[in-house]
Amino acid sequence: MAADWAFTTSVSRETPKASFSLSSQTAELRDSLDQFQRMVKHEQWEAAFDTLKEISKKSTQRYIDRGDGVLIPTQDLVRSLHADLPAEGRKAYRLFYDPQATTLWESATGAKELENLSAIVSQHLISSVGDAAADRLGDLYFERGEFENAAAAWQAIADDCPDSTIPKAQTLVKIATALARAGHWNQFRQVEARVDEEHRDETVEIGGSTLAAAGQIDRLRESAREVETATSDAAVEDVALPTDAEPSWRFSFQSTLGKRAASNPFQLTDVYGRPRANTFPIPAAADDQRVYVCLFGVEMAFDLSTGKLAWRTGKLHLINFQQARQGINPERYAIAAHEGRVWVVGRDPDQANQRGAFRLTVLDAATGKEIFSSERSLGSWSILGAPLIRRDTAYVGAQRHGKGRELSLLVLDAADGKLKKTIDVGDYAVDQNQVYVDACAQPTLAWRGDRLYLDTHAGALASIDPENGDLDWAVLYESPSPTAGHHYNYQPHQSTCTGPIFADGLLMAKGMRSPRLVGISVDGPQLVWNRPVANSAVLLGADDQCVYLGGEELTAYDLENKKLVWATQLPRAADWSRPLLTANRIYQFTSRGICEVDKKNGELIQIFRGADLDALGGSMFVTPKSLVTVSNEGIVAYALGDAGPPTPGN
Amino acid sequence: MKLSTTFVCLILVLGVLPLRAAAQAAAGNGTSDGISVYGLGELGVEPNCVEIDLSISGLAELPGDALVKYRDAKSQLLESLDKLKLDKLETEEVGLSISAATSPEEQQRILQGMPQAQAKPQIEVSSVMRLKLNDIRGVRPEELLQTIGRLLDVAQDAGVGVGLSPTEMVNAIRRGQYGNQQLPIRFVVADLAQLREKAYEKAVEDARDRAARLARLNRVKLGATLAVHEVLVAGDQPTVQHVTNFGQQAPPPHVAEGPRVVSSSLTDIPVQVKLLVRFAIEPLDPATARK
Repeated sequence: MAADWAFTTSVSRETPKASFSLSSQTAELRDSLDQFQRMVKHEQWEAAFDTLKEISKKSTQRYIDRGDGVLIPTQDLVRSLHADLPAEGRKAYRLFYDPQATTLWESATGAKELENLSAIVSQHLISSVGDAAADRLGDLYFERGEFENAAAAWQAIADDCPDSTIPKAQTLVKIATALARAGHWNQFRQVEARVDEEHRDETVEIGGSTLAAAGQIDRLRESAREVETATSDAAVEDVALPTDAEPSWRFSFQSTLGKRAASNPFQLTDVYGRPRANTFPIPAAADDQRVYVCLFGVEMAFDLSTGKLAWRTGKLHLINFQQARQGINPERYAIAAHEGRVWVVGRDPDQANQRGAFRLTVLDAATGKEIFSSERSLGSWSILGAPLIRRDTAYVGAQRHGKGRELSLLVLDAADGKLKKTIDVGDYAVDQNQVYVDACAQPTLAWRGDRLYLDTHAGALASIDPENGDLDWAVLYESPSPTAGHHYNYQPHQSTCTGPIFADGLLMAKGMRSPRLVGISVDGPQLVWNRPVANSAVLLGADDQCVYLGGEELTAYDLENKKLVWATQLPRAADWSRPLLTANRIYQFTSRGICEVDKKNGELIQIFRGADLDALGGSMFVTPKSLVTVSNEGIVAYALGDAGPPTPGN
Repeated sequence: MKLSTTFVCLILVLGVLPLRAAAQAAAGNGTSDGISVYGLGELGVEPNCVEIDLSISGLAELPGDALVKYRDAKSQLLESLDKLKLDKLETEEVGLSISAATSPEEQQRILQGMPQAQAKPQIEVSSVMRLKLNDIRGVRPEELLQTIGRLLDVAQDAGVGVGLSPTEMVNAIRRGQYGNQQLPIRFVVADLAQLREKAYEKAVEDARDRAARLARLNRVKLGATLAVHEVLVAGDQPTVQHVTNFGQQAPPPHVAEGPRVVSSSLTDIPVQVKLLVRFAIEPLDPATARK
């Protein structure tokens, strides 16, 4: 039961102290906007339009705070300023700019159709052809399957064209259809309510047919129910933890030869030459056949049923060589298994450069044979963060070599690694190559509808149109800078990067060092959550009731009222231990075994001690036949019953 | 001549004054007349209770969150302890407090003299959950240690720390509070009333024996007791007998617990009473004196 004690969860929007900057507004831009307001007040229309034109020209790549903490492209702001003009202003605008808009409209055919229509919508929406152009642009996007862009184009008519002759009901139904196709049910419900209240008895023309507005909305609503049912059914089944602690197989990272410390197989040193605690992350992944680990650039695959080493990519002495390097960044290594391939982010284990570039290498999961590597095709880039693979395209964060502050998003052909597009996102406040005592920030990605969402883990969350590489909007959130340089006795919590995720239609994000959990309604966008949570908390997932955070404790926050429902302290675990969320349970690998926690109330149900008793925790994977734990000590597999759970996609 | 007489008198007075003061001081200690001896009464007693201090805390920026975290940590611990079904186990919550706190990172920065990050203030709700395992006298040590181990296991499984919370420890280090320390796991003799009676009897007996010995050796006759001072009485003083971990500060004081003796070791704990007793020397029989 949620506590009724006094607390505040209201969304406050003081300027957040982020440690990431987008190309945002300048003082010059702010002055120009003030000048525009003055001109409008004095009805000096020509001068006012010239000011807006200058703003558009100067700041095509810049973002401006809309006033509620959301950064939007300046173009969008200019469009809304146009729409907010008084009737005289709009009349004057048409007098000045209708000829230009009409020329674009008349030549909007063939290859130029999309370009010209976009130009009218972005620059001349309040012209006499603006609404028609937006309507046609929405149709074009819809036909191409770009539903969010289609909804945005039609939304522009509803929001910014008060004089439009296009029936409102028709525009709203089109918006609802696009939103339903894109899966934005929250915004869909808002449109649905508007149609129900204002246009229920009207008819609309869709696809050459005349339909009742209410009927069309009802049909879309039914599809929403189907999707919601399907989503809830898709929750991962709970795992029946083994009753026998005896593993089916185990692999110890500690070599039997030259054994130096039984519980510390990796003798890492810090920048002062002191041994480091054996608590750094071991990147691991699993599919139905094998478990994969990446040890400082040497990848290994183990057969899930027997534990036999299927393949490895390097000589084992190279691991020792990399361990001996000072300033190694274990958190920057990553591994993921996807459709018969293993995607690895790591450094060449042969190289000894203190700031050697991280590469993206794709291996054949069965043989370990290299399919492609960014070392050859993208030599000037150092990869930052794990990739997101979607259909035939891979998205991954990267920095140009020697430019440790910048963050770009590389769009690659998933088949051969060829670069399709580079999207510049912005700059970190601190060079990520000079973060030694803290963990460095790495971008994480999520996909929804036709949009890519990127959390920089340094105070900025952005929505990106992957088709054209544009940033739709960004939200800054509070995120302290990491500690740059060395400090002899300073050993902070090694935060990990998770999320963003979608919960109850909101995009939820928790930056790795941020004391805030933010939730954004992407339709708008609008900041709905900006709630204090522990700095060390990480996003685990959500269901229809709560959003769950891990870290030094497990917590559940009510999606409806944002209150902390329960908090469960578990035995100590390595900072990189990441719990597994299922339909009714949360499992976390800790120093005292795998804890099974009831999602409903946070009650600790049981602890499966297992066989890896020296471990401080780590990652866990559930496959149809096995439960696998990976710790700094080794890999341990336990057999699951015949009715094993489906792969949870951990 | 007159001057020299005065000078001699002054010297005599100054010389006698310290002697008188010393004599008076000695009389105050009971050593001027009669025979003064210490008497020690000591019993080796098995502890009858084990106490374990567990720290429970909830730390958050919002007080409401800190309270929820504290509430759930406490209930989880108590539920886990209940499952052990130990009849002789009692729990007592002491020292419930709400205070401003700092994150572990911030504490390290303070200790290292590093620049402070601009962090939001945190609120910590904390208390000490004191576990008392009673009536352990006569229980085999192995069995007792096993039970204590189970209690510590439950605490660790519930994510609860033994002793002070990290924030409290760092605060103690910052303030240089190295004294007045309390063991997080203590073996306690809590039923001191009867035991002290026996120790007193032994101490008096011991004092008389010692005094008799001195009288015999000095060929005088031991007289009546003139004065008795308590030098040490088990359970009346701070009960720490062993040094605790570096920097730990004392948990809150025991509430109405009466006199007690504690130890970190599961051995017989000494219950001592030490007295300073002065006996009179009886005057010699005149007949005996003539002989």
